[in-house]
Amino acid sequence: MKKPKPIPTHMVLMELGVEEVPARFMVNSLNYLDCQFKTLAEKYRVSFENVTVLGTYRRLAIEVDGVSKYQKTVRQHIKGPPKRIAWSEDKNEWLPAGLGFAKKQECNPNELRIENIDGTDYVVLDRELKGKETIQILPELLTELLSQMPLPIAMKWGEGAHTFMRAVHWIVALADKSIIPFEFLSIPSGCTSFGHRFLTTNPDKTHCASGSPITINDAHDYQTKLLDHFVRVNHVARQLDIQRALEKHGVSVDSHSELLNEVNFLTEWPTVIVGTFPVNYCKMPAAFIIECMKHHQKYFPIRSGDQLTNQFAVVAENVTDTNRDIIRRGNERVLNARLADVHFFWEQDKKINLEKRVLELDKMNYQRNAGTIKDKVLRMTAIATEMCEYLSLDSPTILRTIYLAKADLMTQIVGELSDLQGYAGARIAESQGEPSKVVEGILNHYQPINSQSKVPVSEEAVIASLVDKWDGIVIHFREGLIPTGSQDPFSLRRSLIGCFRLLYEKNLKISIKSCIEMVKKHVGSSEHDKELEDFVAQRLITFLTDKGIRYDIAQAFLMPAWSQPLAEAIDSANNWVEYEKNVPEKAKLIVESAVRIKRLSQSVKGTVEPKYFDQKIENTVWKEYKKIKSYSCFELDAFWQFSKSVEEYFDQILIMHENETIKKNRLKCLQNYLKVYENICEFDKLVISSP
Amino acid sequence: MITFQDIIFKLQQFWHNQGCIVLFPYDTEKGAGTMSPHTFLKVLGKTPWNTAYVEPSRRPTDGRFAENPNRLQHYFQFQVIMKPSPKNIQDIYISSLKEIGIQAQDHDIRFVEDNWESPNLGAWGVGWEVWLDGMEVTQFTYFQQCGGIDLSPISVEITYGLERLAMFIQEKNSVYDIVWQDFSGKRTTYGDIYTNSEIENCQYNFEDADTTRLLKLFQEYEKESQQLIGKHRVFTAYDYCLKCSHTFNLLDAKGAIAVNERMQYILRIRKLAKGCASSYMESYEKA
Repeated sequence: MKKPKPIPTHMVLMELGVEEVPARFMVNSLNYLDCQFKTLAEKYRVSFENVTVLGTYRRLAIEVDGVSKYQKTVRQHIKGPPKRIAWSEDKNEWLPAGLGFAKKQECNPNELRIENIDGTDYVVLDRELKGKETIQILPELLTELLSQMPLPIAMKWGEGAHTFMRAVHWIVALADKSIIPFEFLSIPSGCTSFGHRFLTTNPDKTHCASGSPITINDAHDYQTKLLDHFVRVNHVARQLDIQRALEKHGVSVDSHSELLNEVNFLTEWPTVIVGTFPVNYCKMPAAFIIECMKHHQKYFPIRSGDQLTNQFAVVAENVTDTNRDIIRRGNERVLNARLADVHFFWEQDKKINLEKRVLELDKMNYQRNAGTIKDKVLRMTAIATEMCEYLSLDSPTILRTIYLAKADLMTQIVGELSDLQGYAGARIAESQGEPSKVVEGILNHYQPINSQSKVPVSEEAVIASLVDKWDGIVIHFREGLIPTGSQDPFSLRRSLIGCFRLLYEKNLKISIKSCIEMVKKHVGSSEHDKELEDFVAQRLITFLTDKGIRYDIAQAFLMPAWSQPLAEAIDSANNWVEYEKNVPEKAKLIVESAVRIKRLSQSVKGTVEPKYFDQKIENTVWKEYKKIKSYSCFELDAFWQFSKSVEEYFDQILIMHENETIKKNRLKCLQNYLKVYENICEFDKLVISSP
Repeated sequence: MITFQDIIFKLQQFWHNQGCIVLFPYDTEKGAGTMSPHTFLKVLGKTPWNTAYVEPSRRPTDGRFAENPNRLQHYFQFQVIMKPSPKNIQDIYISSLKEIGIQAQDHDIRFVEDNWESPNLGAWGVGWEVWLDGMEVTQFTYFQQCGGIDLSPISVEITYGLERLAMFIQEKNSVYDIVWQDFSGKRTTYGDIYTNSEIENCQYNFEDADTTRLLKLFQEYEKESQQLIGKHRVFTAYDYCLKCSHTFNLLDAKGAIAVNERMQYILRIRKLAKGCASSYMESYEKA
C-alpha cells in the first residue's frame, strides 16, 4: 500500500470593510459568521479544520484553516415517481413523468433504474456525486454567508440600493493566494484591505481617512500585514492587551465588563492613557464621578483600595508619541467640564433642604389627571400609614423615607444624570442629618428595578418601593393608560413584578387584594378595575410558573395568591405539588371530592340546620367539617380523611331529596364544604393524571 | 487665533468646494438645523441636493441663565446636507476638520454610534457622534426616513456643534469666552454678543412665559398649518408646523406638559410634519 500523501488544503480569508459598526453588535455578528460558516460548510460538503473570526469597528473577518480542496463525494439514492406512471411497458420507453425526473436530477434517463420499495416499483437514481473543487464553491458559499447575516440595525446609504449595518467599502476574499471572486452589495471581492484610518496614510487625498491600501497576497499573511499597518484585528487578543494595560494602571476590570467590550470594539490600535482631574472633586459622592466617566465618556475610574483617586483611564485610539499629551489633555478637559457641572449642581443641591424640595414637587406633573409628584408623595404617605398599621410596622422612619423619597427629582444633579435618582437624594439626606434608616430607604426605594436587581433589605425601602409601585399601577389603570401587547410605555409590568417580588421575597403578611384595595381608597375606583384585575392575574400566573409551579397548579392557586399573602400561597402550592407526588391516590381523591361538590353545589340562602339531617353520614361529615374548618391548608391528610367521608356521603345519600327542606339543608351543607376546599385552591382547575 | 467667524467662513468655503450651495439661517425658531426646510423638505424625493448653512437653534429647556459654561438655550449649528451621500463622506468630513486647524493625526477622532431620531418630525437616521479627544463635536447621520417617508436616495447630514469646536480650537473653558471676531487685536467674545439675550430668554422660558396663552397659540398655529396643508401650501404650512414645535418646546421648558401629554403633543406636531412631507412629495417630487 502507498503511503497516504498529506491532503492539500486551503486557508480561506474573508474581510468585510465597513464604516464604524456599533460596538454593541460586534460580538453577535462575529458569532454569526463563525456558526453560519460551519453550517454552510456542511451544506456545501466542504471540510475544514478551524474557524477564527476577527473584528474591529471597521472590519468583520473570518479565517478558516485546513479547508479541503475538493468537496466531499457523496453517494446519492434518489426515489422518483412510481414505475406505473413513469415507464411504458407497452412501448418500452420512458413516459413524461420519468423523463421529468431525469431532467430534474440533471441525469441521462439511461441512468435510471426500477426498484421495489415496500411492494411498489419506483424509478430510482443511484449515483456518486463527485465533489467539485472547493474554490469553485466558495464564491457561492461566501455570498450566502454575507447575505444571510442578521442585521440588528439596518441602514441604506448613497443611492439607497443596498442595506447593511453600516455602509460597506471593500471585501477581501482569498483562498491562499487566489482571489475568491464574488460580489456582495455590488462590491467585487479582491485582495485590497486598508490600514488604520489615521496611523497610516492613503496617498489619495480624497480618501484621507481611509488608511493606506494593503495588498494581501496570501490569506496566511492577513493578521501580520494588518499589524504592520496598525490594526490589531484579533479582538480577543486586543481585549486582553487592553485589560492588561488597564490593570497595569491600577484599574481592576472583569473580562465580561460591558465597558471593556465596548471600548475594545471602538479601537483598532488601543493605547491606555491615564488622565487626572482636580482632587477636590473626589470629595463628591463616588457614584457621581463614576457616572460621569462611564456613562458619558467610557472612562475607567482608578481606585486606591476602596477610594476613588483623581485619576482615570482612557482607552484611546490613534496614539503616537507626538499626540499622546494632546489626547490626554483633551480628555481631561472634557471630564473636567462634566465634573465641574456636576460639582456645581451638587454644591447647590445640597444647600437646599430636602423638605423644601418636597414642596417644589408640586411643580412637576406626574401624569395627566393624576396630579403632581407632590400629590403622589402625599398619597404614598397616606397609603403607607395604613399599610404599616396593617403589618404592625413601626412607621415614623418609613413615612419619613416616603416623604423625602422623590425630593431629589427636583435637584439639578438628577436632572443631569437621571440614573442617580435615589442615590442623590440619599446623599443629600445624609448630609442634612437624616437618620441612617431614612438615608438607606431613599437610596433603595426604586429597587427592584428589574429582574436582575435585588429587593431592598430595610423595611423603609421595602414599604416605600411597594407603595410607590402599587400607586403607579393603580393610577395608570384608572387613567386608562394600560399596557397592550408589546407596548408598556410606563413599565407597569416591571413595576408589578417588583411588587410580587417584594411581597414574596420579604414574606409580607398582606395580600395583593388588600394592597390594591388600600391604594384604591386614595386613588379611587374606575371603569378599568376589571382590566387591572386581569392584568394582575395574568402576570401572577407567570410569576408562579416562573417559580417552577406547573401551569394548571398555578391556575388553581391563583385565588389564594390573590387573596392571601403571596409567600403563603406559594408555599401552599408547593406543598400541594409535593403531596401530589408523594401520595397521588390521596391527592386524586381530594380533587375528585372537591370537583364533585362544586358540580352539585347551588346557591341557597340560610344556615345549615343539623336537625334536618336524616342520615347518620350527614352528621358524621358535618362534624368533620366543623373540625377541619380551622385546619391550615398544609394539613392535606386531614382533607383526605374528610374527602373519604365526603365520598361515602355521596354514595349513601341523594342531595336532591324529594323533601324540599332536606334538599335545601343538604345544598347548604355543600356550600360550606366547598368553601373549605376553595380555601386551599380551585381544585377543578387541576389536571390530575391517574395514579 | 481662529475666531468663531473664521470657523464659519472656512467651513462655508470648504463645503462650497464640495459642491454645496451655501445658504442662510431660516427665519423661524427651531430646535435644530434639521428642521430648516432646506433639510426637512429637500431630503425628500429624488432630486439631488447639496447645501451648507449655519443654523441658530433654540432649546428652551437647555438654558442656564448664562451661569453654566457649556449650556445655552440658543446656539449655533453648522449644517451640511449631501444627497445622495458620497461614498467617501467620512474622508470629506475629516478634510473639513483640517481646514479649521484640526489635523487627524494629532488627535483621537472616533465615530461612536449615535442613532438619531426626531419624534416631532417623524424622522430618523443612523450614524455617529464624532469624538475629538473625547469631546463630541459633530453629529453624523445617514437619514433613513423623514416626515414618515422612506428616503431614497439617502442624504447624509453633518451637524457641527460650532461652540464645542470653537472651545476646542481656542482652548476655552466657557462658551462665553469664545472669541467671535478679532479685528486688529480688538476682540469681541461670544459673551459680549449673547450673554444678555441668553439671560433674558431664560427668564422668559422658565418664568415669564404665559402657558395659557402659549397653549392657545399652539392650537392656533396647528389650525393654520392644517388649513394650509389642505391647500397644498407646503412651505407656509411647514412654517406653522415649526411654530407649533417651538411653542411646544416653550411649554415643555415651563413644565406645563405632563409625561403622557408630551407624547400626544409630539404626535400632533408629527402629523403636521407628515402632512407637509406628503404634500411636498406630491407637489414637487412626483416621480
